[in-house]
Amino acid sequence: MKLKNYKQRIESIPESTNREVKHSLDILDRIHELLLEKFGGKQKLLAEKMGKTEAEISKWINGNHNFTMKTISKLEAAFGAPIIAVCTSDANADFEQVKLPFNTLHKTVFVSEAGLKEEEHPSFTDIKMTLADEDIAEMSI
Amino acid sequence: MVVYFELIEDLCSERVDIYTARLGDAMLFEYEKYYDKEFARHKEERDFIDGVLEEIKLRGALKRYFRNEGPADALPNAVPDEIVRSNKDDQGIRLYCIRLADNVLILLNGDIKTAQNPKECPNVRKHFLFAQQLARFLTTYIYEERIDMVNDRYCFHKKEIEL
Repeated sequence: MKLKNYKQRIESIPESTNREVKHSLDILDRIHELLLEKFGGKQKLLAEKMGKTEAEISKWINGNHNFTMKTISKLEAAFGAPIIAVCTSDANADFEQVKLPFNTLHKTVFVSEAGLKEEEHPSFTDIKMTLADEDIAEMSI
Repeated sequence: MVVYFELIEDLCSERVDIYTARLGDAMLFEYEKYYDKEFARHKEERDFIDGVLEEIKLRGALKRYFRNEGPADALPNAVPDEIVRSNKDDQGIRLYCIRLADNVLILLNGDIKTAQNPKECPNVRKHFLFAQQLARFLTTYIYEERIDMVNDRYCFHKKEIEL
């Protein structure tokens, strides 16, 4: 079956709502990914680490919760890894930890423009330090 | 009562087959009835649910995206606080559904929930109870009929089941 005017209906959703939905599901997916990676998927271990009840953790993991920055920060501390990434020019930002495509892009841009004025791009200076040995060797070739 | 299933073409993707059901001789499918409702005072929430369904097309019908309603499920799972605060007289929209697997979802009817217990809400009571009844039935049916939901795509399409 086909829905009446479905395309128009979807196109009428405000961009801000679409972003809100995407961010909500991204955060939920990332928490599940980290729970599996760091605690073998066991909510109980995360609850112990955070000093929370398993019921409270379950509420977060099952998506019945609107996350505040405070909760996200506490979860990040418990996982020892970031849940959200923000576009920033902070030279000290630890991009290496965040598994997102744009970080790869940042590194690639730097490598391909190695001869350019590095000092004018302080945000890239820190990334240089995170390059693997083989990348640095490749740059010198 | 005979329940007839059909794919909702607009909502299907490589990741997920989304169905709806029609009861007996009803003119409309259950999800069509929900889809045609106005929800004038809950437009933002309805947009949010439509947005979630669009994302489910890309990500699959993962358990964490749904509100647990016993054997059945519902959307939305969590809505932004701003929307919750604006729902002064009710508890917002509930779209009842049955998530059978990451790649199989059945959307039913829904409405604005006005009581904590769905059985006490005149709007959602019958949708909630039907979702429960169908979900319980399908759990047994899938097992007994040995339906392979992962490998047999469109396994419910145009299927009639005596409930």
